[in-house]
Amino acid sequence: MPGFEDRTSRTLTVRAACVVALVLTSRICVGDERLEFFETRIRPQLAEHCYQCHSASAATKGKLKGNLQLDTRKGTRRGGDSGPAVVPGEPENSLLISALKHDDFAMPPDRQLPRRVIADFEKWIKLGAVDPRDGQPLERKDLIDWKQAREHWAFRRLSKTPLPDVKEDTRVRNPIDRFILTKLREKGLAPAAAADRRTLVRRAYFDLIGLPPTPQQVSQFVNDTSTTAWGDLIDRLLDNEHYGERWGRHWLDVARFGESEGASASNNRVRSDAFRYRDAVIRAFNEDVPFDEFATAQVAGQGGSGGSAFANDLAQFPHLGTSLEDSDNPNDRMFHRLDDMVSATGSAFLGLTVGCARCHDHKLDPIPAEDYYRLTAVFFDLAKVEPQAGKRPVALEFSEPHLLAGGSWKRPVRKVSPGFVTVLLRGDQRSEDWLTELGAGDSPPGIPDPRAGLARWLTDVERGAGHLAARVIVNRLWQHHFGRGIVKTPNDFGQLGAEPSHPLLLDWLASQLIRNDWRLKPIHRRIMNSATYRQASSDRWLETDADNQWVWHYRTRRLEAEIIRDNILSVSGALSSKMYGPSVNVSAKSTTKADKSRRSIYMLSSRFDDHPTLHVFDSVDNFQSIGQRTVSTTPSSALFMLNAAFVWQQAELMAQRINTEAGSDVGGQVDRIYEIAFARSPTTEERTLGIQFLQVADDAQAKPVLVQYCHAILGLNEFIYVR
Amino acid sequence: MTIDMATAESIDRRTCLSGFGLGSVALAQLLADERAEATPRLQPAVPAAHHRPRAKNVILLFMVGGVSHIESFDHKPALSRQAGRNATDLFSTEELDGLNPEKDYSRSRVLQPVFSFQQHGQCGMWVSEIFPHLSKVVDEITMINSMRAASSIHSVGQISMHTGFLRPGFPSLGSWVTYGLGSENQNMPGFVVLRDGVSSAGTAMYESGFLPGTYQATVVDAKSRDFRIDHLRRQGFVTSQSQRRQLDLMSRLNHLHLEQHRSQGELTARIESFETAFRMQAAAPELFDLSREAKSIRSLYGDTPFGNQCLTARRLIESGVRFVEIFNGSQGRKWDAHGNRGGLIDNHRGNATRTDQGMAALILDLKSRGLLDETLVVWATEFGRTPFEEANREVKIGRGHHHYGFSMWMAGGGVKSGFTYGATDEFGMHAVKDPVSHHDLHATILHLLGLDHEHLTYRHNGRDFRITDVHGRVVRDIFA
Repeated sequence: MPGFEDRTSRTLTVRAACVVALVLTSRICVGDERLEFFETRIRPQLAEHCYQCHSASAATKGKLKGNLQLDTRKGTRRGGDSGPAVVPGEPENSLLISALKHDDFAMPPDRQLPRRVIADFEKWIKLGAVDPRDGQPLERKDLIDWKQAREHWAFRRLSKTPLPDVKEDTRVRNPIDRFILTKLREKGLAPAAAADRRTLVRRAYFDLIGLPPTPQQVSQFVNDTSTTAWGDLIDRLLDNEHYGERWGRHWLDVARFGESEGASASNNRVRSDAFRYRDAVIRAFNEDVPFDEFATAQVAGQGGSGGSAFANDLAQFPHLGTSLEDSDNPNDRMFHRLDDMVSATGSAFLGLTVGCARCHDHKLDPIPAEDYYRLTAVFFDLAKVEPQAGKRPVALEFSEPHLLAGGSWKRPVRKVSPGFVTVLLRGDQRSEDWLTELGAGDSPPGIPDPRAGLARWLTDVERGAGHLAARVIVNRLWQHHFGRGIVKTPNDFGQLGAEPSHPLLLDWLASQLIRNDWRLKPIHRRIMNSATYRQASSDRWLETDADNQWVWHYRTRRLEAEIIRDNILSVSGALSSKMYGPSVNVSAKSTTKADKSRRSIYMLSSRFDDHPTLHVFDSVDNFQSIGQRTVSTTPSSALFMLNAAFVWQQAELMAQRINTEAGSDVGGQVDRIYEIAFARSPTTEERTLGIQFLQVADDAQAKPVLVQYCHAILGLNEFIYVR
Repeated sequence: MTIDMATAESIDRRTCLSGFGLGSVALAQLLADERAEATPRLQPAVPAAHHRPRAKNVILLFMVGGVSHIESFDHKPALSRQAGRNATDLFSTEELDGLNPEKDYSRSRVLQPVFSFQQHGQCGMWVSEIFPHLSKVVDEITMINSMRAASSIHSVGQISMHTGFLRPGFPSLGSWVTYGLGSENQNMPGFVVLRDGVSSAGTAMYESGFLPGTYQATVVDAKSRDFRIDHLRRQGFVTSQSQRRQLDLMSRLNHLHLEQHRSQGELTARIESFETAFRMQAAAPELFDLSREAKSIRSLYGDTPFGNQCLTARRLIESGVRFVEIFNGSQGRKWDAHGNRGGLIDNHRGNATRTDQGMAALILDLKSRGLLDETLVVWATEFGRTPFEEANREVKIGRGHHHYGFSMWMAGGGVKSGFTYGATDEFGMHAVKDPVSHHDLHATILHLLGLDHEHLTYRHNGRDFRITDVHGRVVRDIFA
């Protein structure tokens, strides 16, 4: 019985401590009343009520709470995650007292100790907190079993196993299928049949460029009898400049891209240059800039870039996040910015929630607070703020990076130097191995730039964290092709994240990326050329694997807000093909109609003024890095589709287009609408329903029935779900 | 009980999250024949309450701008005796600096309460003269005079009072409650905000953050007499009949599509959302139509914008909406009583006159309908106001932002009646007796609804989030 064991060991600890105490007592200050006070009034209370969760013995059992060890003087004075527990002479500044009083914390949690006991503690601290308990508290770093921590799947090197041997060759178009089929067999599942060409062409267009194929583009592919038809289609789409708009948008989610300060609705200034980052991302995807170079440009700024023309714009990455209010204390503002930079970098490139270590050592991942603060040191020079709150001068406390207790600049612990995530360092490696190496960048000669060092380490496959960065980005590609990552928590590869469904496939894809010079387009080709990608949707194994983690079919999924809007504009014929440039503010009076019809990625990404259409369909939360958007179904979005002026306008334009392209025959109109909206012909039943709807005489009070029909089509599930 | 998304995902993450519960297959079946008669309501994320609930619904009356506790419910005669003294005589520089980082209070003078106080009801609760109506119902309420807020900046204070966090991007209390409990009304969303404008925190106070959009507040623009929900009105050229015809077509076509995609619960949820939207077009205006109320009720509330908001809140709760928030005073009429903006006396008297009758009527009306027991009414604000004037004596008397101690009250829903909890020191500077933080407030409200704040969690970006973060103490002493 664990409770029994606890009690026993605690009693033993107490006894042992008493023996030591007696010895000490006799040695140093026999007769010291303060010491006697501690031994009789304080120590028994600590042992009785605190040690179970706050002692070395609790620590070794993994039961230590708040990193606070109260069984030594040093541990008590040093305190835990929230700062020193006892400040001698200052009960009002001793967290122990406020905890006992149930002010900030409530300790012991179940009930408050008698007032008399709390008064004893106050007296003890007031009289100098005499405490004979020598001994070293355990360090958190010592408590982490680093060897075991490094065994976590995501931290291991990429595995180099041979491709699985699969007998059934007809199902295998490329190595990806071998990995998938092996697992399906293990689970007693079988892959779905191949999807038909019309399904595939629509899927490929939405996946790669985020726009529906025109009827012409559909027939071009459907009628292409060559054996390379599918591969050629993929190549065409990867070369299409809309590819960068589609995949750049995915990256903008991860980069918590927003174009305003985001402190509050009244402090939400638009950052007029932020669009350049968005443009640089689109260009980088279109030009297939190697991902390591792409990452370096963002993390290191110019310091480590390969000299590409847009590296300068990508260097905005650390600055894309939110600010606090101008009226906030500048120290708060500075550490908020640092936190944003460190958290976004950790999530985007490493899939790690390092931000959690701001206030305390990470609860579940082996990331001590020291790692976090060494990362803030990397970005320290970027987070400078004006030393004032509003117009009032308020001093900045630090000119150098510090480790803070409890995430508060009011509780500095010690200075820290730049450094990386310890668990990703191996053997006798040190962060300095990358930090002291002088880059070819613009940093002054002889002074290493810590951000360049971080970028080198992030992309160093052989020795650094490159293997993890590669896993994280290929997982993102897989996720956006299938709706679910091999690791279904794309921003969390740590202990709390999901394990990969296909670890060997993930590593194989990561190795392929590295082998292809970190270029993404070859990975898209690999994925899309697999038989796995070309499966139809099915419901055969729904009961077994509704989440489709074994990829036994192609799971139908909803388009993102931007693509829904682009799709509506596209089928109505209103979509502008203009690329790049300053963002479009739809609420500005000067904005032209043509600009309002541009692709959604060019709409202003404000943090408080939502775009009227995008926000209806779960547009991204641009306050932090987002790996996967939520998909929700609300009456508000249905009301939008039923009643918004925008949707009716687009339905009218669509009807005009149909009148032009299909003439007045209602059957022909239905056919054309299905080709445009769904890349297929209607079934007999669908056609009949359409004709019935259209064969009603127009009412002078209402919109023509064709407009009403188009409007209904835009609201259908098939319009915003791709299979 | 932690809501384990990993388990939920083994069924179908999105089905569970997009509300409208039921297994995807079962629901597909149910809807396959034709439009089903029975409409599923918004399902709770917590299958059974964590413990016995005392309240079912919440009406939150949120007063924007920071109501002065010293002019409302916290009787501080000692301040009159110190009036005119320098703030620095009574308070340390650290205390003064810790308030609004922007302000320098080193030359501020202590200001006596500008209104007179009297004890009311059997309980003898102190209330200032500007709330004559509320004074008559004090025996129904629990007053908390020991609130502490996280910040004395409006946006940060408002956001943290709603979400528990200091920054935008986290779910609002109303979203957490509907996430935990679902909602009873099939024709209306579970979380409705009646607002008369937008405050400096934008919409960040009543957003669902990382919770699915299903739990997002439906915002009603309640500035004018005519309450408005975005896109609720049909375009002029659309009639109920023509829209029904469209919806019937859509339903047929969507069900044909569904037959090939049984795997997606969200497809059926979306079909259903159109039906809910259709019904909402009729239900919401009906709920907002106060002419259906008896004359005596109309005059009880007073035919004022705030009175109408309170009456509408009761109608919404009565119809099964889970959480109604009245976000009041965000347009021009804030309680933000600085000396340079109309002055404390006019500001607070005006705001109190505007709201007093409505909130007292709400309590009386809920009680007479037997709804007060199951409805928790919460009156709150982002912070209180300083016991002293701001730096320079301005044209009029005013007070600064103050988060060390202030007042709020609750009524019904399982809290004590005629009870005062906690206290500030003699100057109204610090909550010294039984302080209640915004985390404690959230933990307590959830507890009254049968939800354990430590277990109402949602996994996001690799972490289990809850409204109380790592804090929160349930204030059991106020439970009836």
